[in-house]
Amino acid sequence: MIRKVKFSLKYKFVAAISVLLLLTMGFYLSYALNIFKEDKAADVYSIALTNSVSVSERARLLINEELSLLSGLKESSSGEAIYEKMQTISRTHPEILGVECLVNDASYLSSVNTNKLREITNSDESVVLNEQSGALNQLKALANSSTKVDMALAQGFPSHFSILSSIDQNLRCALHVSYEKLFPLMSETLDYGTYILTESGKVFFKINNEDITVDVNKIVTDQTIQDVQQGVKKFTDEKTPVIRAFSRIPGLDLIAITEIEEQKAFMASSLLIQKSFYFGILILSVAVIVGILFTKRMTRNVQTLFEATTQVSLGNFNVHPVAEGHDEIGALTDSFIDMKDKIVGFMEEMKEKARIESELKVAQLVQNSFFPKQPMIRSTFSFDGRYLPASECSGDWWGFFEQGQKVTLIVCDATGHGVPAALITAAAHSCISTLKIDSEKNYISPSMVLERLNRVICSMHSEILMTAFVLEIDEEKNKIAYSNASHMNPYLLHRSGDEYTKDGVDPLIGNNGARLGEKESSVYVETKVDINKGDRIVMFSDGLTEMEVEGKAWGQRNFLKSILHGARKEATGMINSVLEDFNEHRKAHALQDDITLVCVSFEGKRVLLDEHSSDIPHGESFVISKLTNEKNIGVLSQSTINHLIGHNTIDLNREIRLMDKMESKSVFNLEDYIDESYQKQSWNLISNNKIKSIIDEMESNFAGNLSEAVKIEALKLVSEELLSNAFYHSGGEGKKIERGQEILLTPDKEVTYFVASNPDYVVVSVKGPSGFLSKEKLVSSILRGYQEKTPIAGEHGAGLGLYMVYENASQFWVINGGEQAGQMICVFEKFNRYKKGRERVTSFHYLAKEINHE
Amino acid sequence: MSEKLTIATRITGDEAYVSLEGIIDEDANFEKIKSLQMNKFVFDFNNITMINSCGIREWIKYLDDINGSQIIYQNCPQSIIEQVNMVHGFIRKGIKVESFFAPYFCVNCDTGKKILLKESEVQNSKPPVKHCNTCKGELEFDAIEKQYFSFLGQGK
Repeated sequence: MIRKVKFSLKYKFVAAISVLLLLTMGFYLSYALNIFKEDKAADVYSIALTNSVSVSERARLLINEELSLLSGLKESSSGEAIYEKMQTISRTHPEILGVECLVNDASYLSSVNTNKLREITNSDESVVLNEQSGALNQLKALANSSTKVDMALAQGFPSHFSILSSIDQNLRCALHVSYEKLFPLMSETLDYGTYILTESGKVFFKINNEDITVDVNKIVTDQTIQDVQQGVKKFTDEKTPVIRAFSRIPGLDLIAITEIEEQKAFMASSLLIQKSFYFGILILSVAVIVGILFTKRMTRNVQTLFEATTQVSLGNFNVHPVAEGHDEIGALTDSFIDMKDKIVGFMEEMKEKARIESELKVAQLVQNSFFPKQPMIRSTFSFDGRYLPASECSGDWWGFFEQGQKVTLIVCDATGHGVPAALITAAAHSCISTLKIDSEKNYISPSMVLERLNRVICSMHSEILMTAFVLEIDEEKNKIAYSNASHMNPYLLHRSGDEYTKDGVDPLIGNNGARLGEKESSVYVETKVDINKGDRIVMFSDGLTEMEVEGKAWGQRNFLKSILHGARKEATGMINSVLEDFNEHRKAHALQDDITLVCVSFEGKRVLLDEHSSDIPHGESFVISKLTNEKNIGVLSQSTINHLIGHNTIDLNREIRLMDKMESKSVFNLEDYIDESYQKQSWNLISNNKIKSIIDEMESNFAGNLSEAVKIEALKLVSEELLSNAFYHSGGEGKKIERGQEILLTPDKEVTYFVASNPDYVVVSVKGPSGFLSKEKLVSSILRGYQEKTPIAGEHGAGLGLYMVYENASQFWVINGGEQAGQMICVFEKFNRYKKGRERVTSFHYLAKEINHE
Repeated sequence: MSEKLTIATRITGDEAYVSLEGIIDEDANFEKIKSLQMNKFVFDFNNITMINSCGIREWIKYLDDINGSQIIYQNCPQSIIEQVNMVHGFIRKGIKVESFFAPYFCVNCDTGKKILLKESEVQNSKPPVKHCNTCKGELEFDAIEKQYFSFLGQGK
């Protein structure tokens, strides 16, 4: 049933437009007037402040012009010469009414500008300037090297102000200047009252001759005006609100004031608001009437177009509005249809492009999730890997799965790169995930891994083949087993003494099988090899050695040289070292093929702390920790261990080697830690007042040699905290000294500050004249910082310094040399990313031994 | 670092804009801005180079003196944010950190960048997307998000 039209669309539209216009105008007027009012207020405040600052600045310049006249007197060799110059000043400068000088606190000289005085007073009678009528007493009382401006100090002179200046120890002068000098200030014409006050509460100069009705003493004694150099705020003078800006004239004890009554300031604003309101009503009325007249005719076409645009805005582009007539609405409708069609075409293109980009992005994200995120550290070995895709998706893949004491590592390389190769790696990853589940029930050997992978890839009937290498590490038996499907032969490196040489390189070349996907009947055989502490295995894809720059590949020779160079480090450090060499060869060139590099380092038995560790370790020489800094400090507070190493150190092996070296010596010597690769500098301090300047010097020498993870701000903070700590505890742990005081040490108890930097580390060391009571006390102090994160109430120091130092450093070394010596060393590792520095678990090393004082 | 803390204050009506420069340590003197009876304080930390542990204590004491006023922090450098995340009390309930610097990294240019962020740009500890001025590539946020933005929850 069709309902009866009672209130046609046309009238509804007219009514709606009228209401809409009313609401819009009403809202707009209210909004605009409000903004206008706020803007006016901002203007009033800003103009007052600008005027006050401008008057202050110009007054300072004018007075300084006069002051500069007196500086000429300084070079005069005798009283006669001074007097001659005084006369010249009073003769040649019409604004100067008189000059007085007091030489050596004994000789009084004065000079008067007689012509000017006669002209002003309109009398032939001479005005006298002498010891009684002048400013002799004020000159005597004037402090050395000071300047003062005051009002009319010369009796009998017409309106003037006086500038008193102590030019040097033996010469003090007074200039009596006519107020004409300040007349240029009167060009600052505004409706605002502007005047200059002396600090003592006198009106020094009025700019626009308005009466000053307020008690100026109240102005100069206002706390805000006393504390702040310049500003503007609302004051209430005897119930009248006044907006008053003030600006101090530097060095002259004068304050420039600009003020206006609030009511007067906003009078124009109120009037404008009122008129705008009436004008708004008028506009609104006219708009409504005109709207009603035109709506009738336009309704139909506009309605059609409106409906079409509404549909488009809702995402429906399947609209075809038809407009009658040849007016603008008709043209607008045609233009709308044309625009809509173009948008539809463009959207289709964009949609397709976005779909492809988004799919590639998702594919990249999905593929990223196939790779292990963290290096693995086990108690006897660790491994880590990197992959660098040549395009959005990679044809390389590496991963691992665990079977009790055994870990199986897989490295694959599909032919080519990009999406097709990535799909094959996805299949390989999926196959390994299935094998991982199967391995919970049945043992999966390396050859079984390759056979299963081969079957999966053959079943895809793709033209893309894949090479793969599977390595199984048996932690219990110290053996490896491997199986190869035509992948680049990995290298096994044996350590000879403390070195890795070419003679110790053993390529894993046993039993090489066919590529995966070549034929279903391929058979893969395993080879077993014994592993020793210090051995390294390097697995890689050919993208690394075949990367060509200017027609020259990096090659096996350079690669081998690079891994031998980095082999002293643990897996992660070794990878970083090799990639650093590779990047040097690559420069900024794009990769030609995907790159995968996986390193395994065998280290012997170690204790590893992580979320699953339940026991607090005791008795070990060191532990490696994956826990947070706060948890590590908690462990240290309950354990006897003195060395805890963060698992993500830049070079685990180096840190362990240095720790062993330091422990093996009876005397601690920082030189054992710092080799010749470091740029270094040290300072000896006997006063804590020198801390800041020495840290400044450190900044200028070392700031240019840091990394994204090591900021100069952190080095300064750590240096400041360690140095302050060394001074405040210089009397021993029990004796604390009030902060802020100077602490002066005898030369035999000086504090030594040392900073060193090389491409990988920055070392900050502070050696002080007192040691630490115990490791337990030190650790509990840091633990308090972590637990409470606030300064200690009522303490001399803040009690947070060591916690902040520990949280910033990569390695925190404490050497307790007994009652007479203590040394703290913070090592910062130069990661290339800030984030890596923040993720670094801080290593803690505590040594109780004699400290070398050389 | 030898620069002592200098404080430049400009007041407009009931609002004080306080620009801080240098280091905040045990020698920091806030006497001049203690007694200002203002409804609102805006502190600009852009030129603060360091706050040490004693400086944090002094600042916390100063906050006691202006308790009750609306407080806004602007242009907080990365070093300040690190301190604020480490030590509590610097941002009290009601204090708003309007803008602060955050570390980003451009993988193409292999360079770290400090980008000024507004508090409103960070939602649920997610950093806003920013682009490199040099290569126009998308920058990676170079800190641990939850750790770096943890200060934003302190004032609420």
